[in-house]
Amino acid sequence: MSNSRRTFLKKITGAGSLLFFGNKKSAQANIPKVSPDQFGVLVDTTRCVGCRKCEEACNTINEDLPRKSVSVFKDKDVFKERRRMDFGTYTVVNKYKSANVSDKPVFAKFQCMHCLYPACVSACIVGAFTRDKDGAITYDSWKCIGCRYCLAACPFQVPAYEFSNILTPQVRKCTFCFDTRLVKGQIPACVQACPMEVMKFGKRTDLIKDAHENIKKNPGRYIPHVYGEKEVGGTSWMYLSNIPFNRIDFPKLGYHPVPGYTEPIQHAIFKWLLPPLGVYAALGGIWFFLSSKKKKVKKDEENGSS
Amino acid sequence: MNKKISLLMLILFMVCSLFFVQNKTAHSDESVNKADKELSSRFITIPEDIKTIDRAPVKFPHDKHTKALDKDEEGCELCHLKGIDNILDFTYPRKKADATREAFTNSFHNECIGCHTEKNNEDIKTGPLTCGECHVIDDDFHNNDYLPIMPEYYEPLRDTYHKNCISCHQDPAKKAEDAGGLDWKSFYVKKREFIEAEIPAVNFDYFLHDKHEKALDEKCEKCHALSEEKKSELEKLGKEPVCRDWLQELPEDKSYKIKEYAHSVCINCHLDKKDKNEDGGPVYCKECHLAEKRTADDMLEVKRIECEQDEKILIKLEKDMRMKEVAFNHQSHQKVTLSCQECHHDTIQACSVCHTLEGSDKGDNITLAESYHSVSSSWACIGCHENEKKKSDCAGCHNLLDTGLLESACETCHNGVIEDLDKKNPHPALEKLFTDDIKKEMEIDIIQDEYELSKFPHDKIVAKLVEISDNSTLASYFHTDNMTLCAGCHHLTPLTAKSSVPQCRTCHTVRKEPTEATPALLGAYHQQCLGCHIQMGGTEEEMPQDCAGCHEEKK
Repeated sequence: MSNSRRTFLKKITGAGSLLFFGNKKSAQANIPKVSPDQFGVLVDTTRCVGCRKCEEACNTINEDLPRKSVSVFKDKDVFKERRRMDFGTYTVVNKYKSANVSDKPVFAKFQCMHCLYPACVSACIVGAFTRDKDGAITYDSWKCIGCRYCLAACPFQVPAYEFSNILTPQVRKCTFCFDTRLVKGQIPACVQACPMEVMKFGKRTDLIKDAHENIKKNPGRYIPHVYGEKEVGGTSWMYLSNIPFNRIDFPKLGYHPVPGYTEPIQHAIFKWLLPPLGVYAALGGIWFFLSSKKKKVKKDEENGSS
Repeated sequence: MNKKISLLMLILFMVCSLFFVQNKTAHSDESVNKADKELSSRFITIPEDIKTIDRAPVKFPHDKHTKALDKDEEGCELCHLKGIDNILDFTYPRKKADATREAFTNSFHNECIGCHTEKNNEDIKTGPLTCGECHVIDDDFHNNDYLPIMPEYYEPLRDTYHKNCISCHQDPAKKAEDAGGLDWKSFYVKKREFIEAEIPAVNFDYFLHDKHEKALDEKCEKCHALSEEKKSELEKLGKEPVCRDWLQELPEDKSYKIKEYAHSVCINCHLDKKDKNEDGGPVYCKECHLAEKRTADDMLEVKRIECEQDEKILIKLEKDMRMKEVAFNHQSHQKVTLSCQECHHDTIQACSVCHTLEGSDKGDNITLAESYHSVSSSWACIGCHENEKKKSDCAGCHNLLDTGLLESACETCHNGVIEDLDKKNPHPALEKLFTDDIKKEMEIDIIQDEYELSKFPHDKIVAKLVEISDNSTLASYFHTDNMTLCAGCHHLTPLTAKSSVPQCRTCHTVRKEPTEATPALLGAYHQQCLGCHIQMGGTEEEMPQDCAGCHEEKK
């Protein structure tokens, strides 16, 4: 029942937006073009040994995060359960079973994917999130009003909210080391710290080429898919794996940018503020019509009675 | 007040006892399930044109039936038809009709339920009589809903290319360019032939063959059906009949599948011996369908099957041979395989019979060249060698090296000299390998701020590699040069520069450039050392995989 109601509403809003302002094509033109020179990181999960040096480096470089001692990151017991990022961590490494029981376990590092068409930026109503032309998606805590729309919008469920802080809570997610390192011409701290060079920093277009070459050159070593090359329109962080990506907790997503679904409708409805004005105008008209009718009836009544 | 407390106690007691009873029943259920699982059961196959049945498929415990009937001293005849010459026909039901859906259903229902009812009327303990007792929806049913149906000799460890079907065969067909647009569900569940894992295929390996050969006094014809016509044909040629291709000699009057034929031949013979109170073979499913396979190491002492051909041959084409011939040692390959089928598929014939130069339907349109060189198939020479390189002894070095058909390797096989097969390449003694300018132990000091020096036992590592290489026929043939082993770590240089080797940091710089493709020194060391340790999977002391195993932390 609710489903049919939802589809009905969808159709109505969709048709409405189409009726009012143009078709999807013109709406899609709103999505900015991505620079081919933007940076990215290619993560080869087959190399990762789960040493957690990236987590350590991340905690060291990001001084806003709660401080943790070095010994915390030497604890291998954390792999017993699947972890997610929270407001105190920008990145986590998880351990997964491999395809065959006899094979070695698979480790995968996870952090913000820094989408090319970020849903968090699109969802943020105050513009606290911005996408840099080099690929990093950064957050401005001064603008944030704490609505947490970004948490709901993210297809990878990355942003975390500082629920424990009552007065000045922030949304936290990986910064791509934008302020701390990228602007100085340095590569992200986790990439630098990794002893196995699991991650490779470079121009995104080069990395994609590299990834496909790697797959081709080593038959059987990887699954022939570069996760993040096309998912949700492409992400700056991309992954290679030897087991299916859904087994290392990467959701199966479409190739269409997430904001591409919502923005055409939103932008169409609120373009030039005309539709809201139109609605108010219509309501005002009805009100005026009804009130004038009422007056007439009253007048008639008065005339009749007198 | 007291009344209230006693009432409360009573309720508490009742709840506790309820839990206890529940727990107890749960436990007994588990034990029953376990016992059931030990008896091999399999789903009943549904013909392809019927596709689905209305209820859940029936899981049939064969051994449970065999054991029960053994107890009642009612042999196999109760279910299986005994034909002419007292030969049991191992098909079920006896009057099977799979022409229509209804006929197929009835043929099973009549015989199964019929027998169960009969026994029930005679007050003998028997199987279920109601629908849901046979058509059970249990965990297994859900778990194995989309179990892939693989070729008979499929082995996930060997056929790595087919390991992750879903990565190509997406649901629903994603795009034509991905895996030919195959929808994986139709690809996977087409027949639902059900859970081969419960009853793995019988691997009739050299061990079993040898055992049968001895037990049957080398009378091959007892198993290998050799027709009179073929025998006389061979006699005309003046050849002794050779026991091969027995699967080609299926009786023509019956449209048996290989599986049915094998059951008929094996079990009939075993039963025959049992009737005569002789030492016969097994009758229960799980005694042949072993869960664990014997390995080549288990069968070192087992005699291999005698072949018609020479121990060493030159593989060549009848015409148009462009490369030099390939010298091939058949005997040494027999030593490391489990059965002939590992290379020869179902029939013992030369590759070129089915895989012709241009490819034919008989050989699945796989050409002769492909059948030898395919990197992805474990049937092919290269593919099988490729899989050998993935084993822990070899993967330490080979994991980081290029895989597949290397241009430089053509001549190693195509050398045209049969004598080369005997030429092993043993490595010289370590004292000779380690001349004065090669260090026996080194110290690596690149992360000194956090860790102590790591001591690198160069000589021990070389000794281990030499030991592995010299003990393997395959490795000692392909590691032609003394320097080949060094190339496992000192890639590129030792093969070209025959003298001493440059230092790692000559190419792998200490400072990490943002977009440099070559790993920096830190990455190069860890990828090489730790990568090898993980691939070889030795003990923590021998091949440490933990940080502190190589370099102790500074205090």
